[in-house]
Amino acid sequence: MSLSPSTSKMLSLKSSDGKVLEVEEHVAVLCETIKSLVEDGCADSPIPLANVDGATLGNVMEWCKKHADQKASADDLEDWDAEFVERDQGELYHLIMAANYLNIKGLLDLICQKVADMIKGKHPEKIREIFNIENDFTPEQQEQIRKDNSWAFE
Amino acid sequence: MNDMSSEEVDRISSLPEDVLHHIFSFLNTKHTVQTCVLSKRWRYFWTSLPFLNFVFDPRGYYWLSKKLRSFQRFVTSVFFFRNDSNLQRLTFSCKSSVESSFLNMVIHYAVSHNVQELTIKACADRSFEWPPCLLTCQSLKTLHVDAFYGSKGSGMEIIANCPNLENLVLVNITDFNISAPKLRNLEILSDPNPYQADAKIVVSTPKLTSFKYEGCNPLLGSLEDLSCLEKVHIALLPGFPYCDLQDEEKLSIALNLFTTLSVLRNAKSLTLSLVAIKVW
Repeated sequence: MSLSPSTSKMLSLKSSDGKVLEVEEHVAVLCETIKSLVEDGCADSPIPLANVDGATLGNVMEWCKKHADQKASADDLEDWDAEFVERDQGELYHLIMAANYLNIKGLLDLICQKVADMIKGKHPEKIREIFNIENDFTPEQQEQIRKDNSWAFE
Repeated sequence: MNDMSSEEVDRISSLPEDVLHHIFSFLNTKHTVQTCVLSKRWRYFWTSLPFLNFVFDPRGYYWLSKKLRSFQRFVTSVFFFRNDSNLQRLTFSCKSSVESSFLNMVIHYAVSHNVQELTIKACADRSFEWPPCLLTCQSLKTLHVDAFYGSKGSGMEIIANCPNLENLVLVNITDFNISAPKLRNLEILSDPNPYQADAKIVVSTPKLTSFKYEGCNPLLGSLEDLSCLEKVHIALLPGFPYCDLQDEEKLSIALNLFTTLSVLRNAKSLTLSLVAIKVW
């Protein structure tokens, strides 16, 4: 079995909503989950990916294709990644879940860093607003938590 | 990202715990602890975080000692209130001199919680000695120590004997003795400093594959067991003008460099800085 680009064969991946995507093997094996299936000879055709929808799978494979390209320079990839993560929270959420499920460390790092940047330097009230987190504390509970943890709010 | 606020769905709260840990691994622990007021789901989230980043970087000297006390109280409180789970990574970066006893407490906490990656950037007082528990730590895989330029502790000696250490970065530390059977990557770096003492090192690392040195003076000391070495990078920094040196001084530097290089002769690739070549 060769994973080099020139001799790479095609793998079919089937998303949770039944879409089938043909992907070159050397691209798809950036997903550790798929890589171990291929290496163990357990890669059915198509490989069912029950936790990834078709649109997200397309985005994930777009990222894998770029990062499997050996001609891409580090600077080039950095610029490309910065553009890749400019998405709404819904897409970022699906990408993070897919990267976690497919075990793609580079993509997971990238999106987690993006979400961390959205949180960085923001007050809790602002974080709640950005991520639509519902405050289910009563004002009294809220006050008490702040008091108990005053050492973290100095 | 304009349509974000219009989505009105809280997705972040439903992420799995390990993904949230990953996201918050990039953030200052102070921000992470403050998430306790977001909602009930977040109330105790921070207490299980295996990544701790303590950063003290005050702007200006105004209220410095008060700010430092507040920072130290924060660190102590995190240790006290977090659950007792193991630590993957702890970073302690303090741009102010810190008492030995406090630094020791931080290191002891990290070691007793089986830390795998430890970064200490601090300016300890003169009485500081590396606690023996760190230098024999079983869980430690990556250690990064930066004693900050100008600290009186820059001559402090490290004798590391960690059985599982794979990566070691030492910044502005001149004397050390390392015996690490699994060490693969070693970096010894120092800021340009004309008064820096020669770095005296004793290294015994049979698995070392990559060695990087950046400093003003060539290394002195002994490097042993380097049969696995693949990559060497040596950069002599122009800490002082080499053209002002007497011939004997140049000769002495060249000889030291020659000795170092002869020890590193097994390496498959070697990068030398321009200054090093000029001295040569």
